[in-house]
Amino acid sequence: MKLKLEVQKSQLTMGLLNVVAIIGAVVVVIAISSTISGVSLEKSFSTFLKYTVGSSSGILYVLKRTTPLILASLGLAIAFKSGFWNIGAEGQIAIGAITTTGVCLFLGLPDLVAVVLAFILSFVIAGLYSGVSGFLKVKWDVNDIVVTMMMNFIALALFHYLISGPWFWQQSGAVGLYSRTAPIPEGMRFPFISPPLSSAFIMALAFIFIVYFLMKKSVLGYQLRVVGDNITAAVCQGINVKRIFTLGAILSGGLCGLAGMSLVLGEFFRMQAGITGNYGFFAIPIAIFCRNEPLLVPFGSFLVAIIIEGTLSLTTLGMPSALSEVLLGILFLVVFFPELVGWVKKRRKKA
Amino acid sequence: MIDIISSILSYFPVIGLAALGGLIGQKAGVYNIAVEGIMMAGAAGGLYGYFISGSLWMGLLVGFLWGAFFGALLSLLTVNWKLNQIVIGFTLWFLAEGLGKFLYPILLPGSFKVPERFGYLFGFDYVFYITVALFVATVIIFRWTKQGLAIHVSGESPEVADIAGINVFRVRWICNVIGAGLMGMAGAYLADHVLQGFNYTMIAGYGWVAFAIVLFGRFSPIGVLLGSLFFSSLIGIQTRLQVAGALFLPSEFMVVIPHIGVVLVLAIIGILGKKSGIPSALGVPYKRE
Repeated sequence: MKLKLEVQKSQLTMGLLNVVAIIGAVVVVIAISSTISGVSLEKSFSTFLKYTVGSSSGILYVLKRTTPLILASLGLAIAFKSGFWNIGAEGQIAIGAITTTGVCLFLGLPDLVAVVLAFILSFVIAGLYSGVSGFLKVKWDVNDIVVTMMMNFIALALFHYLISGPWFWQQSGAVGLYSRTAPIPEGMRFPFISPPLSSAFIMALAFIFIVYFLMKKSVLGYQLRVVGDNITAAVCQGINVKRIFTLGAILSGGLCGLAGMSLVLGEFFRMQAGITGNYGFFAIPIAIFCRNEPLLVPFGSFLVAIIIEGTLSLTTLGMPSALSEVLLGILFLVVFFPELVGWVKKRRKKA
Repeated sequence: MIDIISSILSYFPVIGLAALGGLIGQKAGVYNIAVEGIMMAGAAGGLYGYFISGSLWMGLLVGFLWGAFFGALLSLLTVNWKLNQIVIGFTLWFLAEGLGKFLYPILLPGSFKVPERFGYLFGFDYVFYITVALFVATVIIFRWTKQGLAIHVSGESPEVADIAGINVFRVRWICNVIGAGLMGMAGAYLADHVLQGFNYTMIAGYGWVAFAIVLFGRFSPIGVLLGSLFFSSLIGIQTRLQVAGALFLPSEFMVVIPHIGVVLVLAIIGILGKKSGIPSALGVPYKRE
């Protein structure tokens, strides 16, 4: 079977234009912020490159960050395609991480069984967590943006409660208090491809194709797209809108839950403060930027991972840590640059 | 007694101003989901305004201007260039929140604290009265003036507005700028008066609560006022109980009581099937033929 990207040629040029504009924006913003912070341009650019694409260990770190971004963005791509504004990915990642940790640490199962169960349960529970919002939206027209956002706060509260309360673990003889759980047993962890990159990355790559086939080749994917495009048409075709929409919401949350699982079993090997790392929020613009195309998601995630990892390295030079947020904000404005060019052209034609 | 009420309502200007800003912009037909970020930018601006001038009013003004700047950006992108309002909202949320957090440590010393507060009158501070006055003014404008009607029609059916000689673009621009300005002012008040300093998690979802209140109040100023009173008291009671050490829940859960409240209230309103009152053209860019 041949994979097909459903983008037209004009869109492809637009995509290229996007990438050029993004690189330009990154360069300009770093230049400005290093001037403000009094760091030499050469030093900040060389640091940025060294910790991202300029060295083999840098690339591994970037790919490690790409893993949860791919999974969460795929989840959001499904949601956005079916018309569900799921911005609760951060909370769903937290729920996935909680479920995985709970299954692996406290059930006392054999390694393989625990991992399989953690995989299934983190998908299902995070899926249901998002499914509730989807169901409220489609059944009673409750605003999905607000509800999913509020569910973020609730899930993160549960997360922080668990790591500082019932699941808190103190290494014997260790000094200082860290809010974290006990480590996951060795046998349940994703094996490393080459440290720090674990095989969770391969799982993420596999899901790109799974989601691609789901959305492009399956009946369910077709139904999801119709529901997202035109509800009236969906009803006329006899699609059970409520069921399909809720199912889409569940799948979307489930993938975000797997992102949480990949963080626990593939990167941190425990639950600790801050492991969700705002990936759920970064995933929103990635999905939008990739126009909800599963095959574009890895590239968008890679780009954003470079920016996160690179700006993190810049904070060691004394630049503010919010740099990544500013950069991403500007980046997503720049994403609309091609639309802008199109708009100006149209205007000229009219005049 | 008045002490208790005023301390419970200490978050009312924060929530009220932000929700009122959201109401004004959305009534004219443009979603503004960047509230959370605009409040963060406003907070940094508010502290900077106080830092350079030593006047709290200057802080509010700078917060307002910062907000208005993002309102103008929102208008440019969604009203003139007709880009998707929700996507642009996310973008501006990131940008505004990032700029707030980014500029604060550059412009101000790290541990900057505001040493004073707004003056009090009968137990409530001046901004509390200003917020109430702004609500009253909004009710009057929406109900009895030509301008209020123009805003209403721009949100409900811009085509009709256009035929009636109303400049829909200008109405939406003005409403966005004023609305976002009020959100920035809410952030400035939160930083200058309530917290008297800055931290990276200070907005804590209040922007989203304000956004939800507009839905909760079904796009009427009085509904939004009641919603703001209700949710700001939830926040106030929650902080008061935490300070007093009266924890009937772990503190992590106390903090999210308002957020849980929003989900429950919106779900109940939805299930009861109350009319949402959403302006028909909300979220739809107006294109002139």
